[in-house]
Amino acid sequence: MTRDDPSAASPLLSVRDLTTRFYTDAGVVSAVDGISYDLAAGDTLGIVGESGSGKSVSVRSIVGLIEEPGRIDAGTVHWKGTDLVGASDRDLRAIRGAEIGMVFQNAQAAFDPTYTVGEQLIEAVRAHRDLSKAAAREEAQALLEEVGIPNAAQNLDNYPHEYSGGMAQRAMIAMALAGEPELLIADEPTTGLDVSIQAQIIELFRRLVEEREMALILISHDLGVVSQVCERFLVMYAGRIAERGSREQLLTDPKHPYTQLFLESIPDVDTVDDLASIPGTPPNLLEPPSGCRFHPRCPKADRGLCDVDPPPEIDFEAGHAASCYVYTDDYDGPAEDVPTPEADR
Amino acid sequence: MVTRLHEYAAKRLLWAIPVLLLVSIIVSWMVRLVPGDPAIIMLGSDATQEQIMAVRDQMGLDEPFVIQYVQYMTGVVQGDLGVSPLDNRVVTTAIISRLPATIFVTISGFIVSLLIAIPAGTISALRRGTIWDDLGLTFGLLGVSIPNFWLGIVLLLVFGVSLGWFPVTGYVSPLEDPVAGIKYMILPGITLGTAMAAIVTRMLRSELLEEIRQDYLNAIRMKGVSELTVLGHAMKNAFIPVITVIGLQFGYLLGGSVIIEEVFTIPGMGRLLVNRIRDRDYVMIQGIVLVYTTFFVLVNLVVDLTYFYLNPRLRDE
Amino acid sequence: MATDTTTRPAVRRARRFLARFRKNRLAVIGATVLGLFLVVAIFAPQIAPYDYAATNVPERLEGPSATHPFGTDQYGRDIFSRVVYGARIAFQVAVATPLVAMLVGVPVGLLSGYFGGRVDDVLMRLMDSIFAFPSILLGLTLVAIFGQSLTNIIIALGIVFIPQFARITRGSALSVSKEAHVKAARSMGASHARILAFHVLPFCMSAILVQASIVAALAIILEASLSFLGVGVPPPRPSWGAILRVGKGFVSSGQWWYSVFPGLAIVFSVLGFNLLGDGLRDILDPRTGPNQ
Repeated sequence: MTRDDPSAASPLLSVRDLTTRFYTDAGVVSAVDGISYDLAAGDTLGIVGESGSGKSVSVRSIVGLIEEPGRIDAGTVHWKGTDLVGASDRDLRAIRGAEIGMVFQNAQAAFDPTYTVGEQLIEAVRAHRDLSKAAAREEAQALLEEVGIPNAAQNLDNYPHEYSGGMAQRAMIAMALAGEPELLIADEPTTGLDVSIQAQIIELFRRLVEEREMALILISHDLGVVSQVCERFLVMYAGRIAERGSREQLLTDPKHPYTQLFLESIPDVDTVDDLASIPGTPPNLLEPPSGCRFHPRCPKADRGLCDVDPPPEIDFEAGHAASCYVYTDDYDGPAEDVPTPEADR
Repeated sequence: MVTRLHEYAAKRLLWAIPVLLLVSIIVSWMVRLVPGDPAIIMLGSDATQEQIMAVRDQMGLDEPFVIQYVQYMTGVVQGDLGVSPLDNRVVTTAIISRLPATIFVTISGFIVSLLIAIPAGTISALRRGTIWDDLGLTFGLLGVSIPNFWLGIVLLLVFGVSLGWFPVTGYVSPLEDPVAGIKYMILPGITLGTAMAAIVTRMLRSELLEEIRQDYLNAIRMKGVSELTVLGHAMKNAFIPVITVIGLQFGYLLGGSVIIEEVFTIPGMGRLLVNRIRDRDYVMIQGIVLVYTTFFVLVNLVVDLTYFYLNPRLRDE
Repeated sequence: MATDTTTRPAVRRARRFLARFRKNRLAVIGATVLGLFLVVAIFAPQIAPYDYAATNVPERLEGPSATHPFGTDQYGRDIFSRVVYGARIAFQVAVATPLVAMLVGVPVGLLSGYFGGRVDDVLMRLMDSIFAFPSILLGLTLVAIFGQSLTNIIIALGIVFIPQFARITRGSALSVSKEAHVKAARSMGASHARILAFHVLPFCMSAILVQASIVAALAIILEASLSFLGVGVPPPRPSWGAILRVGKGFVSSGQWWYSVFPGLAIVFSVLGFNLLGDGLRDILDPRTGPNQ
């Protein structure tokens, strides 16, 4: 089920049918439900979706950061040949930092407030490389400079709470790069930042990907952010992949109704009419809708078809695919009583 | 602008001094609250007029309070806490001879409580919801419900009398004979430390539970370090608020040591205080209470400074 | 919330409280234990088989038996009866001490939290200086001044716990003083006293109630401790602590019952108050509490 650019060589990361569930007191939440994709060296992949779509959980599953009451129930995550699902703690530790690095959303919350940034960077550097403290410190300083933090030498000795939001974000990126990873995962790295800072961070990612020849997985609910850095996208909804494809494919010719609505709901400068929003409420992951999880909110839903079994993934041209019944032969068109987007277009 | 440790220390010291002054004022003034004539109460009804006058003079009771206070404090800063009218013992000497025992008892309690609380709180938090956690919580509840002197008696019954593992009464200074000294300190230490351990365990558990959920721990994991290292970070952060609780508990330790000294017949300041209260020796009582509360204020100061040192976020003005 | 115009809001609140109370295991267990003790305390003369002062030297220092469930002391007095009568002292202390402490503590806290500023500063410094004394030392010192009698001890203990009530009340008063309805009342010309009594104080009641339970537990322990040291309720009143004081002397010679049973009485009564307090806290304000 490889759904990627056929010219890709053997992929760096290969996710197959990854399923992660949370066993809470209230019930079982299926956060990620059978997703699959590949990533080659140097690829830039963006994962977009609403909050609750499972984007964050899916990447945390990759690096084994899922804790009770969550569990990876099924699937495999092959990283350079090794399956990370069920891998030993030692194996995971060897990969974290050195081969896969991760950047989180709230930069301040990513640092231990009782140590200086420098100390934490040094800890990151020395975790995988055998360097003396002095050499590690130089390395740490170089990292800070690489991510564009001024006065790197002084800032090493500052505490995280003394960093501004944007600086902290950069520092966190520096920490993720300390082990010289081949893949950098960024989970909502620009959310909550000023628009101008967002732009700077995005630029930083672009530069890093190019200079370090790293693969990148960038997660965001903000399509604008992702589209500036990533060449390929995954659109997730309620734990499943709704659509996948290249930037051009998705932006110019979205196939899945959710993607279409998602794109329409992004206001642009010329919007004078009411803002469109995706009708209905976000799915309840404790009791997700049957069949295609988007069907209660989908303007093209075909009752009797879309609400029974999960839709198959339909291929379009190179690497572009969507999980939707609309493009199957059984599709008979929308039912009568289907929600429509609220705005006039 | 970042506050350095010594600046903060100076500020706290300046705050501590008025508190100490207030405490000393209260302690001096207490004598005047006694219904009746303290001198007569101390000396007994068959005291001569001269004796009564002498005592009243020594205590400054016939002067206005300010004079009494100044007189008393002048003595205090020179190390003179007065002489007991009952048996002419020099207060300062009596206190100094008793101080080491009290300090050892208090320290034993402190050490035991941390030895219990740190593992108990950590395990309780890490194994939340399991039987270990329930045990920890139950321990917490019992710890504050069982009076320490009763616990001491029960421990004496079981380990001292029945099993004969530990001595029942008496005291050997650990300075003179470390092995024997420690043996004498074990049961008192456990007794004193248990109640404090219960409270600290509860606190550490709740703080650690909060801390474990923090995302920075995931960021640390992503560096590829061991879970132990991650736990270390979590504990360091969780411990910071626990330090304040420990400081507060020190007051409990100090007060509790009085009782423990009574239970285990240890010749410390506490036993002296209790005996003198029964004998209405106000001079001695004043001195001992002053020493206790000064200790307490100073320890709190140290706790404050430690807290400041451990928590870099406080350092910004 | 159905609008029931036939029952007054206070009655509805009370009913709701009782319903929640019944569901909370801690509170129920605590209340049951305490109820038991209360019965014992009130009906002591009926329950105790012997007069607590009745000596019976031939039967001295006998272990637990059918006639003497808790054994006898060195004068042949029935320890069970003494413990039963001791419940009276314990309960008087447990109920009266929080009341005394509240008498001063609550007004102080109200004034502090409501007026803030200088008033708050001064009052809290005062409270802090009382709080600075470890409770046993403070208790000891106050008893040394006032002299030993049940009333004096209750007053002394009450003073020890004033800061606790002051702080709790201040906290609640502070937060409610910022609310709109308080400011509204002020703007309508209500006097401070009226506002404090009718708007601020009711809001603080739940926290005060929880604190009362906790202080009751602490008071029992403190009184027992003072009696154990010999500076508590004077003999022959059988305060549990006083019994233990003598009982300890018989530990080496093996009369364990002398020390164990009175101590258990203390533990259970304190446990009762602590459970009640924890339960009340869960019911009245589930957000704050150790059982996260």
